Amino acid sequence: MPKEHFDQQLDTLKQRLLDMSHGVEEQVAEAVALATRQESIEPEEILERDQEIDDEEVAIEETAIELLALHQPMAIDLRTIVTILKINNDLERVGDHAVNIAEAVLRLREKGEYPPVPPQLEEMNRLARGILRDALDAFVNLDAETARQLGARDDEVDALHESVFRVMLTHMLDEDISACLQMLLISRNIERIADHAVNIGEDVVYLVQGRTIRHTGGKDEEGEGGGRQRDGSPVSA
Amino acid sequence: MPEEPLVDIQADTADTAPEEAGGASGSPSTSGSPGADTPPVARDLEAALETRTLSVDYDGDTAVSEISLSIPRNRIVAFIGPSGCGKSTFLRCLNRMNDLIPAANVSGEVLFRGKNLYDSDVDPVEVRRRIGMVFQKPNPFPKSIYENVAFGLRVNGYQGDLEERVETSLRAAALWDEVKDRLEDSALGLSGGQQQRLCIARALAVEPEILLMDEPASALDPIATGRIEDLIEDLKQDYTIVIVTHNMQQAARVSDLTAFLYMGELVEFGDTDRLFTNPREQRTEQYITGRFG
Repeated sequence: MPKEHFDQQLDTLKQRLLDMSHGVEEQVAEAVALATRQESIEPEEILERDQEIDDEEVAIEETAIELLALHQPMAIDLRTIVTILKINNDLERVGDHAVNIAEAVLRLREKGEYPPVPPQLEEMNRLARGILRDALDAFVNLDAETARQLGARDDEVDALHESVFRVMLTHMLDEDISACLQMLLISRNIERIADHAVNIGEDVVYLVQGRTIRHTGGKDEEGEGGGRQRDGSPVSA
Repeated sequence: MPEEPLVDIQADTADTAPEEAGGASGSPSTSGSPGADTPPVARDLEAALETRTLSVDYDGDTAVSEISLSIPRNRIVAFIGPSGCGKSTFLRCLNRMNDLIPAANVSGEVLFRGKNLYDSDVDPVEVRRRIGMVFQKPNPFPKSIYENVAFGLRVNGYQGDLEERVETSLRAAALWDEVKDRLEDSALGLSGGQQQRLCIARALAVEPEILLMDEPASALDPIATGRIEDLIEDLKQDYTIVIVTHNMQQAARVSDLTAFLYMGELVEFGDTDRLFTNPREQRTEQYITGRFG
């Protein structure tokens, strides 16, 4: 198959991933709005929409595997498809966390007991969604520098989650314990969304620079490697 | 491994190999620096063969331009590049096969056990025994399977057990089980893949140290190609292998190190895994992703 066809197929695949990411971002926003009682839709809608995300994840994966099998790509093309596969998986998991939040809200509604929404949850929401958006922007712009910095921002989310944990423990003395646990679960799911966004950032670093920074605290796995942008221009580490 | 000299080469010159490129890293250098005194090399590996500013021209037209690199012992090194980039010409320099092409002029050095193969006192026939070659198209002699393998041994006046050496060579080439009951049959009756393995057995029979392969599987079907690739991997235990291939997937599958040549120049040389996933040179990236030119 001519090279242009491969390029077109790869561009189409990237666009599908980005379309899916918009859907996932929306799911997260709606789910957190539910949790903070600023909802515009019902939790059931989030559960229904998740099926579309799951279907799209499978379709993107199948297309990516087909491209690998038929074209046996190398270098930047190989890294692009591998990165798409991994981001695809992370996005699907982010969608699942949105579902988990919606389900926690459903359980709260069933009980009719709403503990106070900790203010840290709003900040976590803002930070986690910001990290996710920047991770996806870094993918679009092949911006390894921004992608590398996401881990540090995730530390803030982790700290806020710990803070929510302590606050909810206090509330458990006066409020319904089960309801407080649901709020903790919501916090935990937001924290995990930020983790997946950081994973996406790490994948972007691999895509752009060919370097693995997973499990290294942001440092390179190897001391060597001189990655380049797709246009061949050097990328400073 | 043969210990006899290439005529009057020093008896044991393995440790007289030139100092390898400096630097603390254990990984191979990744760029060809034409004309450099320190060739790209896997620094922690002993060199089986080394070229220094090796150039070839055909009646003044440059085919290979000042290539300096080191081929580590017991490794598979692949040369890739577009047609006419000089990879086959370079390969033929490594056992002086270019001597047979009148228009070819070779300059620079090919160091084998510390001795320049192009020194006037080196016997090219002995060079080709120590550094064997397998060609693109299987070229068995119109003789029996047995005689094909025994031929080189007879020419070299081999005094040992001929039958044993023939069997050992055929086993090493993963062909013995398929031909052991018809050793006297004509080699021309074998399939293409079997003929190519017979040629490998013929090359192995004279116990070379290095095996040069010029597109060894390009004329074979995928199954025969797979067997040749498996064989190459097995042979690495005992031999150093240099392979020229148009098939990048094949280079990626079988080799430890890959060199990319373009218009006679060494563009990039390094670990195969890295070169095919994260090449450092833009021309390598463009070539292996099919965006050349």
